[in-house]
Amino acid sequence: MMQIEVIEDESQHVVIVGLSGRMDSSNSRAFEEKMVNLIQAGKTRMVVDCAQLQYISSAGLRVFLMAAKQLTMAKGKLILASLNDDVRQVFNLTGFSSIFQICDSREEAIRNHGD
Amino acid sequence: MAAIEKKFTLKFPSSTENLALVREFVTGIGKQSQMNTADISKLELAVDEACANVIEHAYGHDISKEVIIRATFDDSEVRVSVIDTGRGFDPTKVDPPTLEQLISQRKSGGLGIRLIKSLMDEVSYEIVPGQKNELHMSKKIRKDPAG
Repeated sequence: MMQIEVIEDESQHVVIVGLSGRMDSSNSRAFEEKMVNLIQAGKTRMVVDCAQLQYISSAGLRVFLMAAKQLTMAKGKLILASLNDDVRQVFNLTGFSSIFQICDSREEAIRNHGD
Repeated sequence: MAAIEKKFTLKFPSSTENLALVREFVTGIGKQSQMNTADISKLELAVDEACANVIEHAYGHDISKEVIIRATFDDSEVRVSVIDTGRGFDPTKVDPPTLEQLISQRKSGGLGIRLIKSLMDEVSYEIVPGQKNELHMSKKIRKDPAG
């Protein structure tokens, strides 16, 4: 079970995608579609808040990688926030921690978009 | 005295919607083996990755096919085999993509096996073309300090 919540912070011109639950091969496509739709709609300053994300497999990592590549081409930026220990471990084991900018909180991630 | 080996089997239709069930099964075995919590999470993810590979690549999402998980443990380690009869492919013989390749390539295949290898102590593959493919994984049991 996974849920995706999208919030637009108009004052900061940032879109926040909040993930909750467990992301695996059965539901990562929903996340992929959401990210592609947002990027195609011109939302290129993005924060993915993982505070409520309990689990991620490589299917979810692939979506992050795809989104980061698309955002780079669109001159945008993706910042991740609030990874729990299990999720962070998966990012560390795959080396993904070095690809993505990861902040400790949503607020910090939003601030980093302003830099 | 030889350690008693406990054996478990799960058979399920080849669909990603069963991955949650797979994780419950594996987590239960990890707990029973008294493996520490962090290692149970690693075991859970490794088996999820192995089963997802079978469902998506060996069976091409054909739900009429069956995936089998055999798990055993004794005092020292947990061993898990994921068995299918689909298209044979030995992922352990392919070098997982480097980070640079992942970033530059359009596709990101090989990420699952990269994870499995880093999560488990031993990984091997047995393949009998058209008959049976078995991915074997094992992890030593390290208990939580308090347990």
